[in-house]
Amino acid sequence: MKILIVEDEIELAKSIQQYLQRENYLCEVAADIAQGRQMIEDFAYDCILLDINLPEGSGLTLLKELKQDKKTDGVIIISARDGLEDKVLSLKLGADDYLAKPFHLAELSARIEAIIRRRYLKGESRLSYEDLVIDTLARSASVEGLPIQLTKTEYELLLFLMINKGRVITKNAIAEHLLGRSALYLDNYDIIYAHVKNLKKKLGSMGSSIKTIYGTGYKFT
Amino acid sequence: MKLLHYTSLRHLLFASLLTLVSIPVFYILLNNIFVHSIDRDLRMQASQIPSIVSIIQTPADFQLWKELDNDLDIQPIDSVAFHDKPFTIQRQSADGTDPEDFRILQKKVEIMGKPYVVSIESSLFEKEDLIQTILTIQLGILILLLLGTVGINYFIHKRIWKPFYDALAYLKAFNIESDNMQLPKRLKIQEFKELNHSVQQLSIRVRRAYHSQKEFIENASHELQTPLTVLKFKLELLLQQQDLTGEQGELIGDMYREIEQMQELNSNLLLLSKIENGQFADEETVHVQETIEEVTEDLSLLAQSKAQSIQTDFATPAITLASANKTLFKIMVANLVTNAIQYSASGSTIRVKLTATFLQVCNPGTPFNISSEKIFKRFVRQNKQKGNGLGLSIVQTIARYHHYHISYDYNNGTHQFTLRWEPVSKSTEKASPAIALL
Repeated sequence: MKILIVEDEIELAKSIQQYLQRENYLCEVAADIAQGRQMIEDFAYDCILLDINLPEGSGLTLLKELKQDKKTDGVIIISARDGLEDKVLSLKLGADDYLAKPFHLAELSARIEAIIRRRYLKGESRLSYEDLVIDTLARSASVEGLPIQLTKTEYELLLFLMINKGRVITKNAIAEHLLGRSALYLDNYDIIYAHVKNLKKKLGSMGSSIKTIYGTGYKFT
Repeated sequence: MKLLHYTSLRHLLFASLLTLVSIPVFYILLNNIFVHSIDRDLRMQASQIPSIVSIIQTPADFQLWKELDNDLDIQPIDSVAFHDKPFTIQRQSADGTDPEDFRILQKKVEIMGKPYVVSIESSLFEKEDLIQTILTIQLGILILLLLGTVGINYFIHKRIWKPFYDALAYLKAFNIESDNMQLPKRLKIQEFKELNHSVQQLSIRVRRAYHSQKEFIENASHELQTPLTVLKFKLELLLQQQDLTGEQGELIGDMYREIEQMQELNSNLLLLSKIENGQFADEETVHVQETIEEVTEDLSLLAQSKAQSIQTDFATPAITLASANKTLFKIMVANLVTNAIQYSASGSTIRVKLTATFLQVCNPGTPFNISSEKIFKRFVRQNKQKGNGLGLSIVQTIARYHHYHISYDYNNGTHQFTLRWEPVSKSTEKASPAIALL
């Protein structure tokens, strides 16, 4: 799986690259529009992370060109602007997703996964780890072939952890993934603990894959 | 009072005063001139008397003179009072109807060795007539003048002030977003030319300042978001280190949270400035019930974290609001519900009531120690609650943007926020928004 990051903030691009490379992703970085254009022409990517504010212009021009050339690369816009009009415009131009900075890398990872799944796996939309299988189309999970009844929240939680397999996911990132902006108003993380506890119980033998990292969050291994 | 009426009234007042004062003054003046000229005539007549007296030699001559000259009255000096100066007396006229004024000049003469007083008289009857005619003519002219000036003033001013009212209309309709309005060109008057020029220059400057401010806000936001993102990413990468202790992890988690607060503050301030600048379209139809359902769905986990339940009470048929902005409306409802969740104890019930005219969000809780007017102010918070104190301020700004009315009440241990879209009293709440918001 190949990913292109078009981002002029080198520190930012490097962090994303570093984070994603721990998956099986192959990450390349383009620091400006010209370089990005060249790389898109030369190679095919599974997903392109495109910044809007670039020194020589808007990343959206690149998006327009991409759609004119009928390229099928998935595109996630990453932008410091979180204005609605930017979001709407980007999605109208054919972007698959829009993330406003600053986001969690775990969240980015989940969105990339979702796009790649949507584009290539189509009917075959299963994610598995040992005996645990998630069917993202049916939004269901099973352990050793036996279906488990998960609530919507538990399902989202499990998917999020599985996508970020092997990484420490903070309570913040989980809260933000599940609650969106209202996560800021949480008094404590008891609700996250409760849902993780329930999920672990429901997963039975596979429950031990979700490790609690003291003081920080969780890790799926 | 309109400018036109103001000047017209002053003109009218001045002209009336002038008329009122000028008539008696004119009368007195004219009277004096007239009397003066009669007195001169009388003196001239009197000056001829000595030459006549010198001719009189016999009592027959004297008698003849008396009879011939009707305007003369000759009396012995001791039978009448003598006046040095001419004087006016009133006497019945010949036909005995109206009393008539006479001017009399007395002169001492010596006839045939005896002293006499000769009174020369002249009727003032003609004078009265003349003054009356003159005054009538004068009054007529003054009234015509008065009507003329007021009328001309009214119509000329009406035309003269037209450009002023044009400029006024221009300023009233001034919209910082669109700059396609032009002031009509109908000017020959220097001052108004300058006024219009200044108004137009001002609007250009204001727009320029507004655009640069907008640009600044967006740039500042962008510049702030990037380092925040880098910080966040670095922390996330740091977290992935294998040999991290729990304590270190916790520290990173705390830093994370602070960064998120900063981001929220940043984006909320940006949202406020954008609403106040009228950067949102409001031509959508909002299905209020659907919006509330979406919001309660989004916030269900937050409510769940405090074991609270959200109870909704919807009126039938479904309520829709025309010419509103869906996104803003949703933010407003979400902020109200989030606020209710925050300020009520665990396990309580939050009620959302929707009727044809209002939306009410109620939650039990202890009273705020802030006054209800201050509640919508920026950065006002109760008991160091979570959030940045912008939530209700955003609610109020969005409500105002839509010409809705938001109010707060505390009743029987319940906080109540009521959003009315039907104005309570039509005159007060429906003020023109575009300018008021700036």
